Amino acid sequence: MKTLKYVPKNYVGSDLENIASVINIGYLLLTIFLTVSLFRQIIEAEFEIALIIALSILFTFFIRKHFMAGKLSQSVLLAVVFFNILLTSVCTLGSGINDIGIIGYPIIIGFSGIILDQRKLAGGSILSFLGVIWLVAGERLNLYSPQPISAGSEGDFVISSLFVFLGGFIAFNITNNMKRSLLSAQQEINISKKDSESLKKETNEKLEIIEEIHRAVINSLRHIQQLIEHRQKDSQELIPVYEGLKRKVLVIGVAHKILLSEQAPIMLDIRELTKQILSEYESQLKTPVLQIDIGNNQLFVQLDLAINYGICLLEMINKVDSPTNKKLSIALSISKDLVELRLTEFEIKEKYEAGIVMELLTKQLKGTLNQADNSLILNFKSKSI
Amino acid sequence: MFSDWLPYDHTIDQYARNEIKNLMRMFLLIIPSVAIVLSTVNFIYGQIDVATATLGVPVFCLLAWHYLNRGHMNISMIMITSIMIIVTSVICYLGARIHEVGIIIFPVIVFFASLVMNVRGVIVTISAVSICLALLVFGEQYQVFPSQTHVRSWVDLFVVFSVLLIHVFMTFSFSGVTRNSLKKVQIELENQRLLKDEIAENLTEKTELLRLVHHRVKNNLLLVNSLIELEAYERPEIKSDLKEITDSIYTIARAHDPLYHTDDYKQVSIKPYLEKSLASFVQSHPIKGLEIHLEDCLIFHEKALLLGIILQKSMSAIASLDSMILEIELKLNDGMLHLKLSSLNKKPFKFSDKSLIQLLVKQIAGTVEINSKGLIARINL
Repeated sequence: MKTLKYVPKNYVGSDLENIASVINIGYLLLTIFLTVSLFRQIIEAEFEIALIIALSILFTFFIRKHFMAGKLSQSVLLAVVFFNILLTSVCTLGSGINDIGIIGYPIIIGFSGIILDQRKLAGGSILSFLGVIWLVAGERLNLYSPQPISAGSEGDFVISSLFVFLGGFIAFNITNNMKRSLLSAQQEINISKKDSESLKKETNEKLEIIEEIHRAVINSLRHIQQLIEHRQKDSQELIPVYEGLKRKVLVIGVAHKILLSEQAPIMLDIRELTKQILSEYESQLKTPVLQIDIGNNQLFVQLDLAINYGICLLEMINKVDSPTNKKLSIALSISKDLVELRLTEFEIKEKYEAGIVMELLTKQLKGTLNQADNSLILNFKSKSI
Repeated sequence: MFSDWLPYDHTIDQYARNEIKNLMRMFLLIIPSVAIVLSTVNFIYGQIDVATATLGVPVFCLLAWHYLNRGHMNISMIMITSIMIIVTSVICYLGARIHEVGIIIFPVIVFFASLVMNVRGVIVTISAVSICLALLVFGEQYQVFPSQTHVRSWVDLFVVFSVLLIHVFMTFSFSGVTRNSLKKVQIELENQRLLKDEIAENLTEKTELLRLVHHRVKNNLLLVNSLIELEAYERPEIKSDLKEITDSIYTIARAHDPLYHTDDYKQVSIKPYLEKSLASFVQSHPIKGLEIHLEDCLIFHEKALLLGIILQKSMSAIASLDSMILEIELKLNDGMLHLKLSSLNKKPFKFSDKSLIQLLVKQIAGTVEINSKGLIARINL
């Protein structure tokens, strides 16, 4: 069985592995068949035909050597050409078109059809047709003289049955191997599809967890708000400090709400953040009129940067917010990766002092904070995604 | 079970049902056409019996066509194979027996079976062909039927030519179905592999992102704390007032530390998380002694962080902590988490702010008992 399953080393691991294994057995069976035919011809004293068959046994070894070297298609083509010539010669020396050898033509064509491409198949078939034409036309035109037909014998039965068996065995095995490869490939596809599905599921789970985190952060911030409010009741003098803290908590909360609603893990739009922060903070403003112009350009930045920016925004507003203001204009302009936040039209009380917190935040944004006339301008640059 | 014994190979059926059916239809048109021509030629040459036998092919092909169209692939296949074997045998019997050129049809039938039938179908076909060959040879040899002389003619060339042409076309087409399916499946497999790699890469990205989100949340909360501490640095008198808030934020931030999370970053390993919180608490609060018995379990991080805050608030609310040897126990029983604070040196408990603790416990669907002996919180997981 080991010999029968032997795959020549040049085909191991290649797409042709299974086919090569069958062809290897095919060459073995062909040699056995030719040896049986050789004995039959010797017994029947048909020495000319026996000599041709003996030569063909040697040639079979030569073709097999070619095949073992990894040249499958070339060796099959060589076999097709050689056995076409052999068959025609044997039939010419035998009973011509009525020789049982003609059973070999469909077998040769069959192999060509399964293994070779269209062009090589056409070549092999033309040779077979030429052989058949020679057998009929040659006889009719007296170019050769076939032996008279004798009654069938056991030898005829053995040869014809072996021919049919050999053809059927190899054709079935080659096709069957192709079908098995097809099945295993299909199974592999199914496994791969299942794997992909489970990976997709896992990815979706991860996205759901990210959403849960945003939700948990929002809830946690609510707890902090409660704690602050709880403490705020005890010490009235620290109200501005707690208010400052609440502003920071508000910014983080808004950032996570945006991420949650947009199902984004970590990137959020500066424009949307500004809009949401102002909408939540508007009710706490002392300035009666707030004019907002945030443009249409979007800029997606990472959560850290967005929160830094949001805290800066509220701290800037808090610095200039006063009931004496008639109006406060906030303009956000985004151009590519440049962000400019401009607070204008507020009453100037004194020169704006950034304070240590704002200085730190501006530094983290790698931006600048400037005061000119009655405006406060924050500029920073971010990598656009 | 029975269908396994039928000749049609269902391996092909899965991938190339329509192609095989179309090819069968085509051959069920070609084969009878050739048979009719051969019958006519034989009739012209005076071989009436051969011509009549050949006419059996179109009749049965018509029946096979009918069954094929009704979806009975097996019946159609058995019918066409059987009629071909029978007609070939009859023609050979009427002609030169084993030396008749019609013998060339036998390997063609075997090839057809090899390409589309299962192993049982192929064995039955080869056996039937072998029996017919044996009948032709031995019938003549043992004079079951008498020998016949044969006149070679151009008709032989026509027969061989037409059979071989059909054979070339048939072999290439039927093996082409499997070959093309194989190619198609291989391309699909390659695409599927690429898709899988892409999804796996996406998953890795999402896992990394998940870790990053936790990390960023922690950093942002710590940033808020740093900003509070910066303000407290400018005004040292408010530092102690803000301490409680910053401690709470630290506790929440720590729950988002990927270090304490499981692989899916959804749950927190409660023991190391609370131990770290307690260690940080002890550093900034005077306490006589502390004994900790924490049972480890995984809980969702939202509950974990609230539990951390409850523990931290409870401890900071104890009035005489500096003279107390405090014992903290955390146990998991029947899906309930039991947090117990008791004194090992029998010092009575006096809590400065019970309402906040009660509020926090209520938020995670728990109950709390607070008295002079200590605190017991039960949280449903």
